[in-house]
Amino acid sequence: MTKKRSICLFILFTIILVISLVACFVNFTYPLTINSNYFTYSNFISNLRLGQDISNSLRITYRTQSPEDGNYNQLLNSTIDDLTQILQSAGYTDVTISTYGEDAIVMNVANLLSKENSDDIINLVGNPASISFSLTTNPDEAIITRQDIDTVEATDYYDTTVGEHLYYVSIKFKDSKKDYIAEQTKNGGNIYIFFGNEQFTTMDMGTTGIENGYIYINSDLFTSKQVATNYANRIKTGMLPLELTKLDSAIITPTYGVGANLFLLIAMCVLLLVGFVYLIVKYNHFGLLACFNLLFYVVFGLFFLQSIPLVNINFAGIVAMALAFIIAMETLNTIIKSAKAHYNNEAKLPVAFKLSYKENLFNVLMSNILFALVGLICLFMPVLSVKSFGWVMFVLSLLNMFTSLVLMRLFTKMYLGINSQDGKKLNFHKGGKNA
Amino acid sequence: MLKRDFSKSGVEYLSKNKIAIILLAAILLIGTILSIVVGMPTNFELAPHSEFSISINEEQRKNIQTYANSVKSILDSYEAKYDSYSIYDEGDNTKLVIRYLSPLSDSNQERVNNAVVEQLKVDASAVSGHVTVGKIARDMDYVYTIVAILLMVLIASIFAFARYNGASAMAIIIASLVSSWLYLSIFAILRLKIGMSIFALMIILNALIIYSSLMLFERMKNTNWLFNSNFDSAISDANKYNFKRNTFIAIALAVVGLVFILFVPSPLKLVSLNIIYLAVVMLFATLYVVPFVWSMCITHCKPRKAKPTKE
Repeated sequence: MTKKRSICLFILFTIILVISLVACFVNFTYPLTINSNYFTYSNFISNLRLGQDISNSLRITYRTQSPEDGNYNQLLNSTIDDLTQILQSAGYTDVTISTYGEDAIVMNVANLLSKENSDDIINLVGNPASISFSLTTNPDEAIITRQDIDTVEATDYYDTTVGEHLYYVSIKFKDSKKDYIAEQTKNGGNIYIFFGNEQFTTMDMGTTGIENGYIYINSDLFTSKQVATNYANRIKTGMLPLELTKLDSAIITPTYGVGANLFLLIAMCVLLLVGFVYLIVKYNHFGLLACFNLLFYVVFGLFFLQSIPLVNINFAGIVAMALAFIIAMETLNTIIKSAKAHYNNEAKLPVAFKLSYKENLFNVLMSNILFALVGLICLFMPVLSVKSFGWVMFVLSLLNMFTSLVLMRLFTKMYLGINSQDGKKLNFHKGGKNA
Repeated sequence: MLKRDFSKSGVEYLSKNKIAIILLAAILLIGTILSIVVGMPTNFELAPHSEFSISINEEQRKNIQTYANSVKSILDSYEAKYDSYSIYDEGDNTKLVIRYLSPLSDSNQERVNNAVVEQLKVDASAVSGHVTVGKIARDMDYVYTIVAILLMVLIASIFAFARYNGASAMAIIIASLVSSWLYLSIFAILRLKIGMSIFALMIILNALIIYSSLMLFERMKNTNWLFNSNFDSAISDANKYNFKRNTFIAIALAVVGLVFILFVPSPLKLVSLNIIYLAVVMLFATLYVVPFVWSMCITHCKPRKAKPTKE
């Protein structure tokens, strides 16, 4: 690579890096826009979904009603599982539900970005009364109760005649009831759906119909899969195995105190700074290059962590970030050390780096695949903190392979276009002590 | 000061440092006995606990630590094992929530309430009585984490067996088991309560031990140790390389722990301290346990045939 081309590429990458860092850390209103509410850019950091240990959460306390028959503990566990699943499919990944006293449960939902989030959750699961279907407006004359419903799903299909996706909610009834419902609704008419005594919606059976024990609800309001999923989730709240009564709800501050996320951000910045100082002091120009590469690693890492919907960052996730950063630093350290050893053995700089990358290819791949595997195993664990650790480890290990083997190699080539002779600028010395 | 002589193999080194072996065995033994007889101390994440809450005002919030300590001393006098406190903001009210592990009887609870009202001069209605709360983590949560660790070790040892030899696989398994138990033993001996964060840190510990071991074996493979009958020189060379790498990782981890201790809020400081402890255990396991087990097992392994060298 020629010197001129190298300099041009460095300038280009620096511009990209500066723009990426702005995207990472700065919120701004798009220029030349009038309504700032709709045209505000929100940075990667604020888009990260945080766990309840470091962000505000909504706490709802419910009283459970013991069933006359059936195993209370078993039903309680199923209710907790169902509530968790409903909230997770609504996009709230950090949900903790624990038993409270003899007949109560406490649910904590973290990462409340706004007041609307808590209102949405309260609308969804705030008053989970039992669902029932009636042919009249009187809920006491219900022909279907929650025990008669098997599953509720939100699905979509591509309508070729209209040329667009249509979304609907399917309710499957248990075998014992499907013929009965078909019989009851064969002449059309309305079915009224109730939550407790409150009417939720009405379905015209003339247009809706029952097919193989399924009712398909289609509405113009279902403009996306998420809207249909929210509707299905609302119905699922009426099918919880135990009846729940809301005792109270409140927005509570993070478990680790107000400002925990700010403190952790400062801690991570200090860690980055310490790492950068170490690399620059030890390897001079190449230390700078490694820092340049690590900044790209940080930017890409934050981008992916905020883009993947299931990633939830709690304290374990932050520790995983710190660990991943150490591994990334260690990877670069190993590559530079190995190049230094070859240079000491009288190899020229380009040859030394070529040999070093070749030599360390397997090590870098193996170690990062190992950490990605560790992350993958953690993903299947039901514990939220372990899952958070797993996601961060998995994403950042895969990313480290790319940045250290592809990006760093490119930066090395660019640097060698500018300086391919003087090892002293990298703190390399011919015939010096081997690494 | 304990100095590592890299010209000696693990067996040779440890046989000359019997005190280190005896000390390690004693730690593991005491930890094992305590955890079996008395049980591992667990925090509110893993054990049913009670909650005791008091509404406090802004002024009291400024002196929250003193306030929490006063409640702690009251709880201590009723033999309730104090665990932690946290502050919840609920709109205009701020609640100080004290968690403790031994649920009090109802009569004692009333006395505690009266003592709090009397000593802290709060409105009687601001104190709400205790309620027994279930575990925050589910019964199987920590079991799943242990399964994750075992799975990780198993995959790594199979890989090590396939690529290197049985001694390498054995070294990974033993080092993981010993270091995990050593890590937990200290908690058993010092009666420090463990929560889910300790299990999460154990995943990191094992991942680092596996990583470091594989790097060590890869180095030995690259220096043709497999075709060399002089295992001692092979491991001493690899150990030099291992020492630099592991010290780097351990120091970096310790820096992470220190930085966290300096900047994170007080409930996280203990976890940050655990990260430094993790660095020490990791260094011990990778510098001593892995080479030691490998040196012991290698004599029972069949040497592999050398690959034809490329022209």
